[in-house]
Amino acid sequence: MHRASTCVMERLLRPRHGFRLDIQPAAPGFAQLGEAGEVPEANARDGPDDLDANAGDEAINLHANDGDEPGIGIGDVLEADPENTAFVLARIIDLFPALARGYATAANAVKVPVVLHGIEGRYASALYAAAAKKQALEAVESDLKQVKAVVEKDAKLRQFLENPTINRNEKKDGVKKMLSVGKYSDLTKNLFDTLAENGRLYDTVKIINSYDSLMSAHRGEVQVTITSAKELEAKDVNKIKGFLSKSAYVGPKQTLVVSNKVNPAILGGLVVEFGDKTIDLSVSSKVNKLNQLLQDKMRLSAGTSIAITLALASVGARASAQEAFHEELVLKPLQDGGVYSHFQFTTHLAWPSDASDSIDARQRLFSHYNLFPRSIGQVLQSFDVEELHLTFTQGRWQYKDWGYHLAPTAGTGVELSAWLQDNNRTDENWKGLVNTLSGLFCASLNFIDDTITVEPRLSFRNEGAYNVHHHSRSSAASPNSARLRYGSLPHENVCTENLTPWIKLLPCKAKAGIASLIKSHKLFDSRFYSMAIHVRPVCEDELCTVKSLEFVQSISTVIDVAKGTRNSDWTLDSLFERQIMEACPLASSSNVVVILPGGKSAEGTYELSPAPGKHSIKDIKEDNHRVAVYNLLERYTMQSNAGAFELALRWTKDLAESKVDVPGVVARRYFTGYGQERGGLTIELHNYNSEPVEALYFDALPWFLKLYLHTMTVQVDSLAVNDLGDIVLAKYYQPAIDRASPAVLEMKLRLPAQAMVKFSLQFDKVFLKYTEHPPDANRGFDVGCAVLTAFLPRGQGQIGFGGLDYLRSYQGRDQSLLNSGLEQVRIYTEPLMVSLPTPDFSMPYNVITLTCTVIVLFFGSMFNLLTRAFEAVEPKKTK
Amino acid sequence: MAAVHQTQTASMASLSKSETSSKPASRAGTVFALAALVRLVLFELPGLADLLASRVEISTPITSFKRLSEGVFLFRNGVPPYSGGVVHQAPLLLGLFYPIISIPVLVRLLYIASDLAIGSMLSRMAELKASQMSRKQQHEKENTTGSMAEMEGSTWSGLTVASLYLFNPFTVASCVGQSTILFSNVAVVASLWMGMKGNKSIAMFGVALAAYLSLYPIMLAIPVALLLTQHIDGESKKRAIQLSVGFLATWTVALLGLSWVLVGSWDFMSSVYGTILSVRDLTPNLGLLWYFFIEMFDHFRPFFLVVFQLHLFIFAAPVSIKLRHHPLFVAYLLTAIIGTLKAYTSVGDASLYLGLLPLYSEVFKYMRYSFLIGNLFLYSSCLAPIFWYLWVYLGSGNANFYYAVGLVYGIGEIILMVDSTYALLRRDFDLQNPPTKPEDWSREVLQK
Repeated sequence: MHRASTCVMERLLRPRHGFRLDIQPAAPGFAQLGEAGEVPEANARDGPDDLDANAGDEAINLHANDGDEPGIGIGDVLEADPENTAFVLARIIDLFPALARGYATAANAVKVPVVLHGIEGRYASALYAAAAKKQALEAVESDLKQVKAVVEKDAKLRQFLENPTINRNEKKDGVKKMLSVGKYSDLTKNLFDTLAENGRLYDTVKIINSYDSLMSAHRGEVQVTITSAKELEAKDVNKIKGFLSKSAYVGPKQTLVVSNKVNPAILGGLVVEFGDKTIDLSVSSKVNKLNQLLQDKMRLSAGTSIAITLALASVGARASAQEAFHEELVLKPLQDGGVYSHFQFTTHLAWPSDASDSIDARQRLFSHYNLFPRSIGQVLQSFDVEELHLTFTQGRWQYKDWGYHLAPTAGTGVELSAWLQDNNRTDENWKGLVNTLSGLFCASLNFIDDTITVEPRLSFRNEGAYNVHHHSRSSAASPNSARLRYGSLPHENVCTENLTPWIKLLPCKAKAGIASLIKSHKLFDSRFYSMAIHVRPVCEDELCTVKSLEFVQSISTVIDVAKGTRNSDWTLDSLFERQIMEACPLASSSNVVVILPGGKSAEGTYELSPAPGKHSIKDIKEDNHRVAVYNLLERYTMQSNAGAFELALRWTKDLAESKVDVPGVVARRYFTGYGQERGGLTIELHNYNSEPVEALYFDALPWFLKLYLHTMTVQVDSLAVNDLGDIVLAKYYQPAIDRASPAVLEMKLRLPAQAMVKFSLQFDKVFLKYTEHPPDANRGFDVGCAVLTAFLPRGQGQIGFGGLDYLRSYQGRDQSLLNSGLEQVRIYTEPLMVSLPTPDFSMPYNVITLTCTVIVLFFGSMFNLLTRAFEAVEPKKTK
Repeated sequence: MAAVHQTQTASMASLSKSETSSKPASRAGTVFALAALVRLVLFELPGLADLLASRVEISTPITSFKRLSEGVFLFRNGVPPYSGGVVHQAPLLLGLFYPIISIPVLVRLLYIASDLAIGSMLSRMAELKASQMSRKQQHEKENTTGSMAEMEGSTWSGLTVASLYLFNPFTVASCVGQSTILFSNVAVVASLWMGMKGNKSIAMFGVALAAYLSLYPIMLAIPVALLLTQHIDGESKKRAIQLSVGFLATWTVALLGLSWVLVGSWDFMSSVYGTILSVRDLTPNLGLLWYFFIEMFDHFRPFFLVVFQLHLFIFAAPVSIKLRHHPLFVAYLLTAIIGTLKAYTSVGDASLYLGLLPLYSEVFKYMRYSFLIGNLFLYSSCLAPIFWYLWVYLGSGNANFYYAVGLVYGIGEIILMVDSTYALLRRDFDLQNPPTKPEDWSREVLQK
C-alpha cells in the first residue's frame, strides 16, 4: 500500500496544487503497515516516478552516518481549496513514511517547518533536519550563503557545477578543493559530497535557496503574496492579513510578510500565495471552472449557475479524502431460506482538480496512490480506460424468489464492458485491455474477440460523472469522446482461480475486515455467485466540484442456509466458516448491514444477535425497508479487545407467510422451433407495475444465428400489435457479419402496465466449417444473456434501501433519473444454448476424394469431347 | 446482305405466325393459362410456398427470398443492408421489390409473369430456330443431294419447348419458392432471344443484367456474341463484336453505377460477388462445393477455391470454339456448367438449362444415357428432402447422406451435359458424312 507514497508526497507538494484532505484522525493502518515496513524503497523503485524515488534514496545517503532510525515523519500538509474561498486546516496526515525515511529524521522530533517540493526541497529539508539535530542551523546557513556568493560571482565555478559532462569523481574532488579553502561545517561538506556523488550539483543554488526559505519559516516569517487585479488598499491588505493570521495554518509565533502584486489578467478577486500554498480566489479561475462545468453538460439552469458562483464566492470549507476505502457487507435473508450476502469494497481516488489538461490529470492521477490497486491503475492508464466493469457470475439469479440484486451483477459467465478514450487506438486498447484482464484474473477473457465485442448504442450508458478530466480549456474535447465496448462469455466458469487475484486487489486482502469472511469453497458452494470490479469516475458532490475515481469490488452470493437441515437460522460463522476479528485498519468505514426481513410487520418473528442498538436501525421509508447497521470500525476502535464479531439470526416463527418482493419487471428469453436448420427467438417482458415502464432491451447474438428482423412480431398479452410505435420507441440493429461481428439488437421500449410484451423473430442457423466447431461440437453453442435495463419507480430498484451511500453511489448518477424518482435496474435473461448442424468430422479425406472424382469425371469427359473428332470405323478394318 | 437476310427472316417468321395463328394461338393460350393457374394454386396452398422457399435445394443464400425480404426491410429501416452477412442479392433487386414487398399478390404475380415470359421467349426461340434451320435445309437441299430432311427429323414446336419449361417441376418449385434466380434466368433467356433476333443492345443488356444478378452468366457474352454475328462475315462481324463488347461494358457499368446510387456504397460488391466467389456461406445445397469447403483444411481452402472457380470459367473458351456453329447450344452448355459447378446451385439453375435443351430436340435421338439421366434426377429429387430430414431434424442420418444425394445429382447433370454434347457432335459428324449406303446406318463411329 505504500508503494507510491513518495509519489503521493511529490504530488502533494507541487506548487499551486490544491488538495482537500479530510479532517480526521490518521488511519492507524498507515502507521502500522509503515512500521511493519512494507519495504517502501522496493515499492518506490518500481514506482512510476523513478526520479523521485531516487531522490529519496540519495537523501538517505546524506545521513548515513547519523544512523538511520526508522520513524515517521510528520508532514503537516495544509491545503487551500482553490474552489472555495476558505482556508482549510487539513489534518495532519502521515502520508510520507518514505520521505521520513529519506530524511532519516535524524532526531525523531525534528520537524521541517515547511514542506518543500522537488529535489532541491528534499535536499534542503534533509540538510535542515540534520542541522537542527546538530543545532547548526545558522552555521550551515552562513556556509551556504558564502558558497552562493562564490558561485554567483565565479562563472567558471558555476560552469563546473552545471556541466554534466564532467565525471562525478572529478566533480567530487573539485568541490572538496573548493570547500577546503574556507571554514565550512561538516554538514556542508557532506552535503556537497553527496550532491557530487548523486550528480545533483547543478541544483546547488536552488538547494541553497530552498534552505533559505526553510530558515525563514523556521524564524517564523511567512511570506504572503497577494495578487489582485488592481492595487489593494492598505485597509484590505490588513483585513486579509488579519484573516490569514487567524487561520490555524499560521502559528502564533509566526509573522506575516505581505506583499501585493498586480495582475489584471485575473480579472478580479485575489490570488493569495503563502509558503507553498496558493489560494486562487480570482474571477478568472472561477470563470474557467464554470466553463468546465458547462462543458460537462451538467444540466445547470441559470439559477443554479448563479448559485454555484455564489457558493464559490462564499466562504465554505469542503474537505474530502484524497483516497478513501470503505467496506461493507449487506446480508439479506431471503424468503426461501437462503441468505443473500453482498460484499462491497469501495476505493475512492481523487482526481487532481487543477490539472492543466486531461493527459496531465491522468498522469498525475495514476502516479500517486496508496489504496487503489496498482495493477488496475496501470491497466486503466495504459489502455486509456475511462470506465470499466467486469463481472464473473455463476448460477442464475431467481428474480421471482429473490427480488432484484442489491447492486448490479451480470448474467452467467463473464461480462466485460469498458469506456475507452476515443482515439485511433480504441480497438487496439480494447484488445490489450481484454488480454491484460485475462491474465490478471486468470480467465479466458481473451476469447472476447471481434466476433463477440459489440458497441451498445442505447444500453450500458456510462455511469459515472463522465469525462471529469476532459475539462481542459485548450482542447475541445467533446463530452462523448469515449467509446463503449462490451463483450460477454456465457460459457466461462468462475472459480477460485479468479477469486484469488480479486482478493489481492483489496487493501487488506482477506486478512482483516469484512473480507476475512471470504472463503472460496464456501462462496462457490452457493446458488448464485457474482464477483465484480467496477471503475468509474464519480462526483463527490452535487455540483461535481470534486471528482474522484471510484473502484468498487463486490461479491454477491446467495447461500442456501436451509440446505439439508431445513433450518433457516444462520450465523456469520455458519454462512462463511470464517469470522471477522477486526475492521480493516485502512477503511474509512466498515459496516455490516442486515436488511431486516419483512420490514416492521415481521418484527418478533426473528431474533438478531447481537441486537442492534436503537440508533443503528434505520427505516428506509421510500424503499419500505428496515436495516440494522453494525459499525465495525466503531466496535473495534472503542473496545480494544472486542473479539470476533458474531452475528446471528434466529427465526422464532415460520417465515413462510412473509411476502416476497415481487420484481416490477421480469424478462425471459427462449428459443422456439426444432431441428438444426432454423429456429425462433422469443422474448417475454413482463411488467407487473401499475404504470407503464420504460426499458432498454439489449441483445447481442452470435453471428452463427442469422436473424431475420423482418419476421419480428410483437404481442401484448397474446394480442398481436400492428403499430410497433406504441411499444418500440427506438430501435438500433446491427446485422451480424459472418465470422466477424455479432448481431446487435437494441430497443427502447415502453412496457404497458401489467402486461406481457412478447417479441418473436426467426433466425437461420449457420453451417460452420468443421474447424470452427469446438471439440464438444454436439454440446452446442452458448448464447449470452439479453439485458433489459428498466427504469423503475424507487423502491423496486436494485438498491432496496437508502442510507448505504457507497452502495447507492454505484447507481447511475444520471441527474434526470434521480429527479424523476426512477431507478435503473438491469435485468438479465437466462443464457441460451443452441445446437448447430454438425458435419461428419471423420470425413475430410473422403469428401475431398469424392468431390474431386466427380469434378474430374466432368473435366475428363468434356476434354475428350472437345479435343477429339469423330471418325467412322471402317467395317473392313474391324472385321 | 445481312440486312436483307434479317428482313427475310422476320417476314418469314411473321408469315409462319400468321399462318398458324388461329389454332395454335388458342392452344398456346391454354398452356400459358394453365401454367399460371398451377402456380397461383400452389401459391395459395397453405404453407406450401413457405415450405418450398425454405428448402435448401430451391433457395440458396444468394437467391433466398427470405433474405431478400430482410434486405428490403433493413433498407427501408435505414440499416445498410450489405453491412451484415444476411443479404447477398444485388441492390437493384432490393430496389425492384422495395415498393411491392408488402403486397404478396404483386410479388407472386411478378414471379408468375417472369416465368411465363421465359416460356414465351423459349417458344419464340424454338420457332425462330426452326425457321432458320428449314431455310438452311432448303439451301443445302439445293446444293447437295443427301437425305438431309430425313436426318433432321422434325424439331419440337415452340409450344412444346415452352410447356417443357413451364411444367418442369423444378421450374414450378423454384417459382413458387420465390427463388430470385428466376430474374437471372429471365435475363439470360431474353439475351439469347434478342441475340437470335440480332438486337445487340438488348441482348447485351440481358447478359449484363444476368451477370449483375448472379455473376457467372458473364460467360454467356460469348454465345450471345456468336448468335449476334452468326450471319455476318468479315469486317462487319468484327465491328459487331466490338459494338457488343462496348454495349456489355456500358450496361455493366450502368447497372453497378445505378446500384451505387441506390445503396450509396460499394459494400454490395463484396457482399454479393465476394460471397459468390469466396463461398463464405456454407449452407448446403445440391451443389458439390458446400461440404467440400466445410470439410476442407483451412490452409488448402484458398487453393481449392481458386481451382474450382477457374475450372468453372475455363470452359467458356473451348466450348465456344468447338461448338461455334451452335451458339445456342454453347449457351445451354455454359448454363449447365454454371448450374452444376457453381457453389450455390439450385433447381432454378437446372430449370434454365433443362428449358434450353429442348431447343436442340434433334440431338435427342443421339443421346445414349437418357434413361440413366432421368433416373439420377428422379432419385436425387426424391432422396434430397428425405436425407435432409434425417440429418437436420431426426439426427438419425448425418451430413454425408445429403452430400451423397448432391453427388448423385451432380453426376446426373454431368452425364446430361456430356451426353448431350456427344449427341450434338455425333449428329454433326453424320451431317458432314451423311450415310449414303444402307450399311452406313449401322456404321461404328468413334472418337479419335
